[in-house]
Amino acid sequence: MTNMIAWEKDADGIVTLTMDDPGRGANTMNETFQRSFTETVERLVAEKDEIAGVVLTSAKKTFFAGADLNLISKATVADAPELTAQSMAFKSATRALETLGKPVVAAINGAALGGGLEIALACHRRIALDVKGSEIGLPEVSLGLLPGGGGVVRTVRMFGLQKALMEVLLQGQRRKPAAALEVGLVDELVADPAELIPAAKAWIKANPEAVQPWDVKGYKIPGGTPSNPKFAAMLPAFPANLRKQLKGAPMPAPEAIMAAAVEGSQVDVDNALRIETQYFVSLATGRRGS
Amino acid sequence: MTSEAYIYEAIRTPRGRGKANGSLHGVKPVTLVTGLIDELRARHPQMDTNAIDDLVLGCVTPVGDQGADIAKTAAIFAGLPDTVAGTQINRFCASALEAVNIAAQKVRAGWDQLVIAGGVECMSRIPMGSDGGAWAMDPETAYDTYFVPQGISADLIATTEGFTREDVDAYAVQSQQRSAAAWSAGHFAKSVVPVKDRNGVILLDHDEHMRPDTTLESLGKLKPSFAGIGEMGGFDAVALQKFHWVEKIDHVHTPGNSSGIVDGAALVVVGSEQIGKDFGMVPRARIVATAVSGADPTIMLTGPTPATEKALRLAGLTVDDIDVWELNEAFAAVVLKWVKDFDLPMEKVNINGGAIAMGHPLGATGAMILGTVVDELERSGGRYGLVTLCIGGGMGLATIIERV
Ligand SMILES: CC(C)(COP(=O)(O)OP(=O)(O)OC[C@H]1O[C@@H](n2cnc3c(N)ncnc32)[C@H](O)[C@@H]1OP(=O)(O)O)[C@@H](O)C(=O)NCCC(=O)NCCS
Repeated sequence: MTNMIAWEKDADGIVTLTMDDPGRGANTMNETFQRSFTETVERLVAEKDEIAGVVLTSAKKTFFAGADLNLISKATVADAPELTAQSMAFKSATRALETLGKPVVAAINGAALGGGLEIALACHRRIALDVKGSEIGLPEVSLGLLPGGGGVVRTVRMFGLQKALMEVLLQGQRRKPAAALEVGLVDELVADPAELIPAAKAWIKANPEAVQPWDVKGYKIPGGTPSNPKFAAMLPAFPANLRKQLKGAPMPAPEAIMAAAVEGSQVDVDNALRIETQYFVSLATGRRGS
Repeated sequence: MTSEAYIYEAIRTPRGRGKANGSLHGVKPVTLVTGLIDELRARHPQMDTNAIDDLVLGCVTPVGDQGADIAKTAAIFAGLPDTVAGTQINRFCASALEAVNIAAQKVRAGWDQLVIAGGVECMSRIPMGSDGGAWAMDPETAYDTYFVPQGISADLIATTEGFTREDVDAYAVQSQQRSAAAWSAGHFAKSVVPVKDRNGVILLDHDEHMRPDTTLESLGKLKPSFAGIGEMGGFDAVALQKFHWVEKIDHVHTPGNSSGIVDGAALVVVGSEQIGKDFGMVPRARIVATAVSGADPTIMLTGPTPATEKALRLAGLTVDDIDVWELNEAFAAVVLKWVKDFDLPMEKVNINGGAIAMGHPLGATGAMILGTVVDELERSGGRYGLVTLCIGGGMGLATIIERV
């Protein structure tokens, strides 16, 4: 089986990875992608001494379209072990990518929603093309799901619990690139497609030692966690206000997102990713009804 | 050998205002307890402390200075024999009465002979809720179980029972008047042990949260304390989704008709009949029955009713047999509902005032009001008294005692 992620190394040692699902008009989180992604990350790890950095981009009009809903909507409780294993395999690949020791840049050439943004969040920098029709966000909640590819864990660590929940996760806002820049989901915009890859490479050359903030010793989640008295004083109002907003509607996803975010904030990244997967699987398999 | 469980002594500290300007704010929780242990030794020099099996203390926020088993810590620091054990327990607001009940159960089981029970809480130092906990702090738990803070529950009780602001304020005025009258008549003279500094200088010898000049008019000016969190915190909506037949919550509780935030400690000596004989101590009351019950966790503070029913049933007594009724004044509506449920005459309920006036040091209150009932039975010549408290999480605890 072929790898749908093209590998191209330039003279400076920067590898450009181009996602291009041969069977579809858009890249999705299907089996082909998951296998290709894992293989590609394994190769990056194996060859990292000869690599200066990585650019991740897409050959499609969009960057990445997110989960393959056909697969997820069919899941039942019996699929839990399989879904859990798949989710964790993807996450260990993203962890290997962000802890590679080399700068990794997502060159977001078009819409990055759901799983697409989650892959980009596992990169050290996100540069988006400011193109019409492009949208960036984690809209899983509107499908009754949660961002189960690290989106909860990483946005909480980027923005703090309150902002991640209110501005990204609980309502699943889709943002134009400029708005995504403003909220902090992307770091930089370029106007012209021809500038995208050069901008990514320029950042790599300027930041040869890139590391995620949460992998730096002494890192603290902005705004505090339940162990912080100030944050703890506000926390009980979170689920109460959620209940108030939902007016008793049987919608399990927002609660699961909030729970995964808060619980995950109290442990290390790897355990947080596990907790996120458990809540994701409970929603995907319908175990977590209302 | 099993035995009846007797109360030999019941003492308490005065209650200090639970703020930085409170007279006990500068006193360590462990010191409040050791001060009372010293008093027990002084009052009962013939009591061989080697006979004490255990020190059981309630404490609701057992962190910081109150953490790591303050009971054993106090036993060591007070210089009790090494063989005296100690355990801290948490039944929230009823912790100290639970400590007494556990002591009674130990003695009645025959495993222990002499147990010191009570509790301590320095609310000015360790704020209520600062120990976290999954019910309030874990979103999944809170969401699925309709968690709301106690003040919302108290307002919900007032709403479902139809108690108006005037009703609860009138009860609060009564609490202030009765507390003041009890103090000036010397009803607390036997139980209250002044808190002194390390040089013997008195720091506090009275309950300083009281406002005897409180009137319906002065109370009427106070703003509801829980309307804000009810609205902004989303808790009204949570309560109303569970109690969906209620249209809106009437926020009637204020700082004037809720229990006061205070610092204090209390100890009760519980022992077998033989202990009294061995050390020449005269029992003051017999513990007739202990009862605990759960209740709906969202309205939360209705537990005294099932606990009272259970205690009466266990004791084989009826409402008419009880001469002195004591329910912790966590919030005025809690008392009014319980009085209504049993159709109690107000002349027999909380006759020496209560926590609205004098304050509710969470982990210590149960032992304080038990002592109040022991004293009142002796003074009035009544036979049976019933003590009960509402409890966080939806529980109630009750104890029936008989003067001997
Ligand atoms: C209700 C509650 C939140 C009020 O706390 P608080 O706002 O810190 O109360 P304060 O003592 O500062 O009183 C607030 C105001 O009311 C006034 N006040 C209080 N009692 C009064 C009275 N009897 N008459 C007139 N005014 C009174 C105070 O003077 C103060 O006024 P100020 O702000 O102008 O100084 C708090 O007492 C509480 O939570 N009680 C319940 C405790 C509890 O839940 N225990 C567990 C039970 S289950």
